[in-house]
Amino acid sequence: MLFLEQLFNGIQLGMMLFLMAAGLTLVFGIMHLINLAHGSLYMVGAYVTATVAMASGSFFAGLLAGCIAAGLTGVLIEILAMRHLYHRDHLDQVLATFGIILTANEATKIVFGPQALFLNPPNWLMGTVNLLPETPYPSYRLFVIAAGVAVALLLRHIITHTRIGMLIRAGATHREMVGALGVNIKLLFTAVFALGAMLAGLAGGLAGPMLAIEVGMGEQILILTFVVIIIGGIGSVKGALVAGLLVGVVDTLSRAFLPALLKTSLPAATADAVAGSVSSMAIYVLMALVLIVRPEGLYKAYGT
Amino acid sequence: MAGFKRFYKGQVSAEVYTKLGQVDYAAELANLRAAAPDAVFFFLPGGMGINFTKQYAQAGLKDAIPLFGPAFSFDEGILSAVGEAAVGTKNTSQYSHDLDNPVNAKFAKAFTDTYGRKPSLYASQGYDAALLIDSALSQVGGDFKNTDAVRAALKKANFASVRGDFKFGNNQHPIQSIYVREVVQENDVVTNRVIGTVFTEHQDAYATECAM
Repeated sequence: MLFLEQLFNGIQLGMMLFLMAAGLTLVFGIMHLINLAHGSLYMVGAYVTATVAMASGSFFAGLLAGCIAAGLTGVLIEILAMRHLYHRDHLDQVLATFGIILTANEATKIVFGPQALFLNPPNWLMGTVNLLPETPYPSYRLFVIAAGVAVALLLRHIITHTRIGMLIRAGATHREMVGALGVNIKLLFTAVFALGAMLAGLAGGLAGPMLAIEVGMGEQILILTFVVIIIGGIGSVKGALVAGLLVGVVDTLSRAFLPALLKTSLPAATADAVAGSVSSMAIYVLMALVLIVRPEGLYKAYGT
Repeated sequence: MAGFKRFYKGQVSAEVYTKLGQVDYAAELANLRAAAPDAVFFFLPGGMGINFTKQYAQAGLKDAIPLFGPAFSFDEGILSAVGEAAVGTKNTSQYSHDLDNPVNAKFAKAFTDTYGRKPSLYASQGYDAALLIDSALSQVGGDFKNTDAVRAALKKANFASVRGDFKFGNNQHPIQSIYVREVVQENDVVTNRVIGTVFTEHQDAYATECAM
């Protein structure tokens, strides 16, 4: 049942990517803002989660604090920097948010030191559970999948059933009209940015027990996140979910099964080397294929 | 990996190469579990090693398949981030803070007292480098402008290293002993402990090809 296990691994990676991409795609789609610093919010989430979890002894208290801290950092970044960039060129936004990355990384190094932080999952999520007999799977990864599903449902509810969701959908398509109707666009943008930042913080906190919590961790996942929102369609949360899962599964399955597949036709040593490079390319090939068929991505940016 | 295979006498059942900077190893770990080798030797320095070791333990593999590697995934900084997920794994290094020699005893104590953590192999290299420069400058009587003399004095490596025996080979790489260390938990601290010597006064494999 190796395939089932690898499929779960892919879904789990996909859920992490979805959490990152959902926020980024909202900001990109609704505010027309390219935010490279999204990875920094992920880092803030991970660092605060680890610190608070260590101090309080509770992983979930840490996770909550990580979310809030990332959200607040997001609000701060929005007010101090982003607000002045909405009407500027995308290149200006890229430069400014790249500057924020450098600042955030250096500030993190000053506050927390260059050494990676330590974070364990809560005890009841430490072990493995059997998906099927003889197929053990890390329980923490199952928890991450569950958290991803919960966030997806919550976002769907917010976007389709609440007033702010309606404004988000309206803002994505007719920004000026929404403003003309008397909606406080400034506040809406700050709220959307904070929501995206909290999701990134949640992703960072959830990643903490599996990954090294270190300076620069945000940039490692940022590229994949951009691939996800481009495949999913910029501005679409549903697209982020579908594309996140697609990228997660394709990346995992190609890493898992390409070496064995190539060994049937190539000498073992060559197959190992070739499989390594081909599987690193798999998601970019996927992106190219999707863009050939649907240049706008899988879904259009109508909220859900 | 070439170095490992040069001395490993058993059969290598498979090799897996991952992407530089990879963060998630779930796919590789699931395949590893299915392949069920007798042991795993890995080289993933820095954050990649932290990711791999944590995920290896979370997948329940740590107690099933022994994990080995060079020290670069097991230095004291990395161990503090990995925690008990690394306990029981083994690694090789030219240095460990519990090496039994007087210079190291003094260094390790002073370092721990000052910084509140055990010195890693990187800290020891910095300290050794300072001792080496000091020995050379003493020999030339502080006349650092006489570069030929300083270079010759450096080459003698006439100092007591924290790693025990140390001298330079013909290609100016160290001739030194290599130790195997086990990761243990001492009170709250996860750290290394020397459990054996792999090589005594070992010189690198390429020395004879170097005409320096």
